[in-house]
Amino acid sequence: MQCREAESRNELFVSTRWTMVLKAGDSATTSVQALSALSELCQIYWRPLYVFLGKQGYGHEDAQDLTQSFFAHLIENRGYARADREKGRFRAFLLGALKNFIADARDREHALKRGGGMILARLDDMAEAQFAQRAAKWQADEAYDREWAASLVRLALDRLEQECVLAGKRELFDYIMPYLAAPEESAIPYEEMARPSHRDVTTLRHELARLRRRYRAILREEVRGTVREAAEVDEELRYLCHALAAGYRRKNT
Amino acid sequence: MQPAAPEISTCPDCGQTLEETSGGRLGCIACLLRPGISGEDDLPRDSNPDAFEGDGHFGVYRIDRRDHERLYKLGHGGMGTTYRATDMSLQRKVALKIITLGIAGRSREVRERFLREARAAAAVRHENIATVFQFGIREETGQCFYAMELIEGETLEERVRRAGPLDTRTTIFIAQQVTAALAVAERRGWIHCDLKPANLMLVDLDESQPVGLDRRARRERTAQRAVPVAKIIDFGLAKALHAPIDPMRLTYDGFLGTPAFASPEQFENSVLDSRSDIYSLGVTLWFALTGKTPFAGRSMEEIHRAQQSNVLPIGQLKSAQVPSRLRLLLKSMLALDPAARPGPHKLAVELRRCAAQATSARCTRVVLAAAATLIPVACASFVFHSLRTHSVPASSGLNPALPEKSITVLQFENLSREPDSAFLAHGVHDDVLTKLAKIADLKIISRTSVMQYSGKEDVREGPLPERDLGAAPNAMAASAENVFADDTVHFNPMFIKRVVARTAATHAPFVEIDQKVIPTIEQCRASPQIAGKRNRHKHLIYKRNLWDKLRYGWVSEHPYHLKKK
Repeated sequence: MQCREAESRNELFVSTRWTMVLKAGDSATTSVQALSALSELCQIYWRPLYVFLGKQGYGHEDAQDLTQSFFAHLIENRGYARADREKGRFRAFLLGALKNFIADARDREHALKRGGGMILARLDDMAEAQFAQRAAKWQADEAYDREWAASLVRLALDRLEQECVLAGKRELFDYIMPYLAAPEESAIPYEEMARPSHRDVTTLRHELARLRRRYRAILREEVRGTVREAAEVDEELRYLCHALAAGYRRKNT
Repeated sequence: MQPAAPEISTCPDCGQTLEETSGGRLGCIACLLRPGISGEDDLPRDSNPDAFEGDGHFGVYRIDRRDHERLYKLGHGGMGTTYRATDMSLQRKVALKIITLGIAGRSREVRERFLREARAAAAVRHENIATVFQFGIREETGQCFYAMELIEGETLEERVRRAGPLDTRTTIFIAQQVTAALAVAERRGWIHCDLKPANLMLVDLDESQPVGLDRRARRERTAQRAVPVAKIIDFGLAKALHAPIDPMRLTYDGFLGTPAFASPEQFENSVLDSRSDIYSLGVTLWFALTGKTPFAGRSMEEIHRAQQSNVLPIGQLKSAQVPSRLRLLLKSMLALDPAARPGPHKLAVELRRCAAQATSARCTRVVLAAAATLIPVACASFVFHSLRTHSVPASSGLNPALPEKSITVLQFENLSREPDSAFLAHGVHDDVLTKLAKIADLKIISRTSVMQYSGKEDVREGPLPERDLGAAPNAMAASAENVFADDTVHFNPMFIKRVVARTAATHAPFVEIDQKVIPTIEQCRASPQIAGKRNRHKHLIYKRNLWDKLRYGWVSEHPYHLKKK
């Protein structure tokens, strides 16, 4: 609840990356900041698109080329201007736009190899194999949602880790990270952690509580960056949780 | 989330596969997303904010709270979250499971089938199965729930993680209880489908001694108190939550169970019957004895492949000193072919035999412990008597009342010039004793009993006068060698010079020693880094340079027998 109130207050002054892009879509010219915001979003969330394309039957090279082409197309042709203002979530927009792009690209095969201006990180062979194994029984949309959720979590954890490193608490992060989502206090072996981390149990409890709060705030911030209203954060997170559960059930069938 | 066991990378809370997150660490994406949802801490795991009415009510149930604040969560898993609750109409404490799977959102037919299956599963009554009080679907919110008997205790998984692997006797006792429950369920045609340590509650019997019991009853109760009562929870729930694809066959539209404890049939979506539960029980017992599961894997596919290879890591059981009969039984329970597994009734019979073997071994240890105290006193008295009479005939034989298969391991000596290495000799002695103790029908004379011979001159060499029995160790050794020369069994001279057996009948266990103990020592010696993890002393013991400086003692007949001559 506190998070939501804070977000509502922030909403009065701060534009998120996605709202900046949406505003840019409304105006005749696109600001450098809006393009930069879109570029950042694309850098963060390219993996879900890549996985989706993989599920559509594209090979590694083609999927990567097509992802880059798609981003280039999105920026050059102001594709974001067509984002649905009422139901505008970046996740849904990106997938919809990609689907349209693929349909068009099938008619214009030459576009596949054109490439975009954006350099995307490459997945190594092992990561590719892991993707393929995990996504083997998922539908393309499920794989996309799942990878989207994973990207969000990785991003939030990376930010938290960076903050810990800056605060000289990298080692503490290593101990605490596995228990960030622990649902029960009893599941956390404070006594075991106390000795190697050179902290007493009480301090560890405080540190864990603090990092959990911070992780939660960062995660919500990142989700906030992909939705239009602060009130949509919970809805988006619930949607992803349900998508993961559905994908898990399907995978096990 | 933290994996339940290092070799299986699935989330213990929701069962999903762990994925690489920040810095290559594994984590559960679903569990890491949930903390972001507002008020998630107080919400059940189905992420439905309407799960409870105000003040934590769920129909007639009121969810208990910890410290008047947080909802009293007993646990959660892939199927749902369980709360401690109070049935307000009957004023009864229950374990209320709120199911996360989307049954409620499916068709009316699916929901009715869930109710039918759950009703039938709830009809299975047994003292080792948690009673189901109520189940159903809340029409207002569309949530499935399951109210069970509240069992105050801990799961087998929690017990093993808290206190380490269980001993053989306790494990067999738990297995007997579960088997009895499975036998009753089989008669009704019901299977659990998700038998695992987390679904076995252990309840320690009340410590209070009831008034009015006679001595025998008190003794039996005391004996039972050492081992917990086991209760199976969630019986039939997994099956009820999955719809059969073909009503004529027991195959289902989803994976039933937990991969690490699932039978091969569950992976293959084949027909399931009670033999599938027997397999899962086998894995569960393996976990109880070793703290590990026999088939490791990072995914369902890897676990299934490991099962198909049909290579059981029996070494885990040997390391845990599991008796041979129980090892064989576990092997048969984990047979790939369901037809090769014992049914509940045959399993019950086999478990009784295993229990007898375990009890026999335990009694032997108790007797030896007593002997360790009494024998020195008896020896002293006998020596005193011998010195006074000087008339004991050399070939008067051994005491026939004493068990035939007993063995004494004399102290090892530190021949190095480093006094600090003296403790190594004790370590080797302990190690050999431990290894020999694995042989159920062989008595091992305690270290205390042989301490009196420590530091004496070499007992193995030089002719000794046959009648000089008063010069304890030397005379005994020589006499033993002369009398039992035909039965002498030689082992690897690097480790144990000679073993003097009493009769030909003792060859069998000695052969077993030769085959099992010596290679184990060899292996430890060859791999100091492995041995070193076990304890600090062994780490040093198995360093080759030190090892070679030690001269090893030898194993002889019990000195008490020899002194009688």
